[in-house]
Amino acid sequence: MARNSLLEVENVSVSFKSAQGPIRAVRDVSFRINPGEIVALVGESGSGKSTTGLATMQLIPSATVSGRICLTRKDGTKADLVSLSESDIRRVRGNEVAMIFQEPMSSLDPVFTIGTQMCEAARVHQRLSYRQAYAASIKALEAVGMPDPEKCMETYQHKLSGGMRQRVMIAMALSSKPSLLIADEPTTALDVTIQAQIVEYLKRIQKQTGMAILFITHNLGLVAEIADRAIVMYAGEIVESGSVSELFTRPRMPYTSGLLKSLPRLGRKKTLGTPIEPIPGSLPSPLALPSGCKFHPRCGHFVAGVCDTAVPELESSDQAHQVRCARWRDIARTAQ
Amino acid sequence: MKNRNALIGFVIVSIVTTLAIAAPWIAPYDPATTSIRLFEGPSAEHWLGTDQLGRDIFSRILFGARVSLIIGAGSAVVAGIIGVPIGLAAGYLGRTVDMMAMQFINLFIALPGLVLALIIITMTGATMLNIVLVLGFVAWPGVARLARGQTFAIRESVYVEAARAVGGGTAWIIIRHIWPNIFRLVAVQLATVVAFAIFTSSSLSFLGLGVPPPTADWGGMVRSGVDYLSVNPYMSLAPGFSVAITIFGFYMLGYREE
Amino acid sequence: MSSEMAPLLQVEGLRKWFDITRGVFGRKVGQVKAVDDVSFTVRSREVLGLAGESGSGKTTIGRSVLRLVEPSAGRVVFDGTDVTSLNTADLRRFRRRMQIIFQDPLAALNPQMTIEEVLSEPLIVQGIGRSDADRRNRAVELLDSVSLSSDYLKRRPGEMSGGQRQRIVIARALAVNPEFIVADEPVSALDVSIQAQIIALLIELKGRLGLSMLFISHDLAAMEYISDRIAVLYLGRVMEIGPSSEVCGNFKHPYTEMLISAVPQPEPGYQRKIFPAGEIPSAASPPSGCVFRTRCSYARPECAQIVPQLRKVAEDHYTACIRDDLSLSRVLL
Repeated sequence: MARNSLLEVENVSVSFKSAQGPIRAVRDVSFRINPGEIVALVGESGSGKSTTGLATMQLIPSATVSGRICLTRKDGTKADLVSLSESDIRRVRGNEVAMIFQEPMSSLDPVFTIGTQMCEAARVHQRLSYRQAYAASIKALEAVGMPDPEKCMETYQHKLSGGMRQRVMIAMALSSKPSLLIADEPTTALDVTIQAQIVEYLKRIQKQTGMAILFITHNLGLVAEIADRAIVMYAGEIVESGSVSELFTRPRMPYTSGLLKSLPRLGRKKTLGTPIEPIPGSLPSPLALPSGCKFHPRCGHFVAGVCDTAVPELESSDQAHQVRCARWRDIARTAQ
Repeated sequence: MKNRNALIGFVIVSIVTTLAIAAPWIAPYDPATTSIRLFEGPSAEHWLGTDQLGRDIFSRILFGARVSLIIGAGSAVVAGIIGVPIGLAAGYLGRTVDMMAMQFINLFIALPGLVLALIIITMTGATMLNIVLVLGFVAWPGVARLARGQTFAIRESVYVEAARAVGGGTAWIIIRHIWPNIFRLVAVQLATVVAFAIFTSSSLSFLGLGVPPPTADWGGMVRSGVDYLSVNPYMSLAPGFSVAITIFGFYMLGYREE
Repeated sequence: MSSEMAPLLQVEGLRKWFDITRGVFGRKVGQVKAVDDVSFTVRSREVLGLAGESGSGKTTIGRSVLRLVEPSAGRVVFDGTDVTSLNTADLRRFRRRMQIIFQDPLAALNPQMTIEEVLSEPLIVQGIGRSDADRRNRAVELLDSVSLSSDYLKRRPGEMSGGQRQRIVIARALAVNPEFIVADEPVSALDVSIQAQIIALLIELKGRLGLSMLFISHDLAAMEYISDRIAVLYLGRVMEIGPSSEVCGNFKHPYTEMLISAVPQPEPGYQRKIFPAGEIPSAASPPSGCVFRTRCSYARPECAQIVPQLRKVAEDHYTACIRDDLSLSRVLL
């Protein structure tokens, strides 16, 4: 029934050492990504969304990662990324899974032109001649909407705007035709008009190539715009996951519904008169997590003895919709 | 790493300072009292032996520490008094003031400190006060440059803008926001000035431009011991080592990772 | 017009040009027109939103109004007083009436100071309160007005969360009982669940204290929520200004259309009708005529010749576009 998934993350935990003891930044996270699917990983600071994304690719040397991260490779074999050797994982990162980040500046070398760097990467990874690599790079830049690709090839990164740099990064990331793109807040540092352009191009490229995208973001508007499915994280745990349409219209977890209610929306104030309802309190420190459900101190549905004792299981509320809340049935009933 | 260096420096400097302060009480002999026991090697009575006039070397080292530390600290105070206000003014006021101050600072930094000190001391005469003033005068540009750079960075901070927005004037902002934030770094820089002053004053003494005798000072002790190296090497080695360890201590205290 | 209707703040022909210099002698090689001929008013108890992308000049306008940067030209008149011509001493006294809230609360607080010192600073500088005890009482009062307990007096900014720090920044701005506040991106550095708290707090304070506000943001949804009117800026110029529901729902300028259509909507299945084109050009070499014409899909040859002036399209609603024949798409749901 279910298709063979591209990435299976099973019971992954990530912890860091700190002076005040170990920080378990991500706890027991499991999810899967199907080929060609766009999955959003949503959360605020400290939710563990970026840590999960980076840990998936074994990009945090200082962290201890446990669990299983199973990737179906291009040749059809499966590989557990947690136990892969450094040289093997590097091959996976270059060819099968690509990443783009919030700050594209640091990934580009300031002393070489964009063209030199792009051609070099294409020649190494795909064994192309210089002429082929140049043509491929121009094509890749066109695909991300670079206005003047030839001119861009001859410039240096500091001459480019943030949006242009991110386009270059995307073009480079996609040159090896990965089956999965992990995008970690790729548009957060950009203006909304540029963000809209980049998201549009990502969607377009995804349709053409059929790659899967793990889109890590704090922006619920972007989630609705780009993703098929979303995973909501809070304080290091998945608290809810499901299809975007389900999640936005029928959120089960009070945190998710709280976030949606706290969002000001264009045109809503006057037409519907809906006031925004902020979630009270602040995000928990990773060093002093609350007992039981991590959201209980801020939750309007909190019941003592239920929410603050045991960590609720992530249960299926529907097919393909999971929620971590001891009271989701009660809440759903009273909502009706 | 930085903390460990500073700790080593702090321990050395504390020991040297304690010994210098306690010199009158812990020194076994008067540093100026001569005796007929000349050029003796280390013994139970004279831990580091005696010099060409039969004076106890260990006692002279202890009293010499006072001279070195007074010169070092005094020079740092002078360098701070000149350098900090210039640095603060250049960094905070910027523009023309900054440009002029920086030209001045760079000019001074370009001059070789020891040579400049040598010339001025030769002209003014070697008294403790002169040495302190001259060494402080030679060392202030480094302090000013550091204070300027730090001030500049903090002046641009949002919290200084916030202080301006509530009506804080230049004096208020410098005293309340800039000085508390740069104080530590300036203090650390001044520790290296102490080291520089001790080193340079010892060099001056060695060249015969030090504190006049009979005051015991380390540079002078090294110089007078040089003539008798084959007779009693401790005469030069002991003060030389004292200079080295003290300078090392102050440099460690003032060690900064860039 | 009755005196109640007279604007509290009037900005006329505001310009801020930065010189581009090169070489040892600082030879002037050009100018960045960060703010170019901007005029607007803020009425008493009104919130005016300044919307725009980075490079639109919105932050510089906020700073110029408070004279935290010196305007190159133009006038800022606050309640009949020309702020631009005040001398240092008068300006300091004037700061009791106009305050600012910053984007990054961590940067806006001196890390060395306790919260009590932070909140006392405006009082000391402005000579409010006679003793430390007076000032402490006022600080407790201020903490209470931003829903923080007096426990925070002895803490330092490093020991607090982002939302709590922003409350402190707001409390500091309120310390001198200002009538007018420039809120410069006050929520954009905060987490999503905290943003709504701060917006709700600002709305509450505005109502309770009768504040007027210049709300600077790139987040149009939050801006529509809090503002009475919105001015849309592009390359240092006002493109459109009007009541917030009009600007967001019945906009008349192509740039407003582009900006609003770019905002991601948290509605599954929402399809963007307008695809934003191009990037904001450098303010050192802005396009001739209408500065937006290089990205505008409705541009005509004459747009390169004429610098469009604000023209009235409805009561209180103005647009700086020479085309009055446009029917812009309504992207709102």
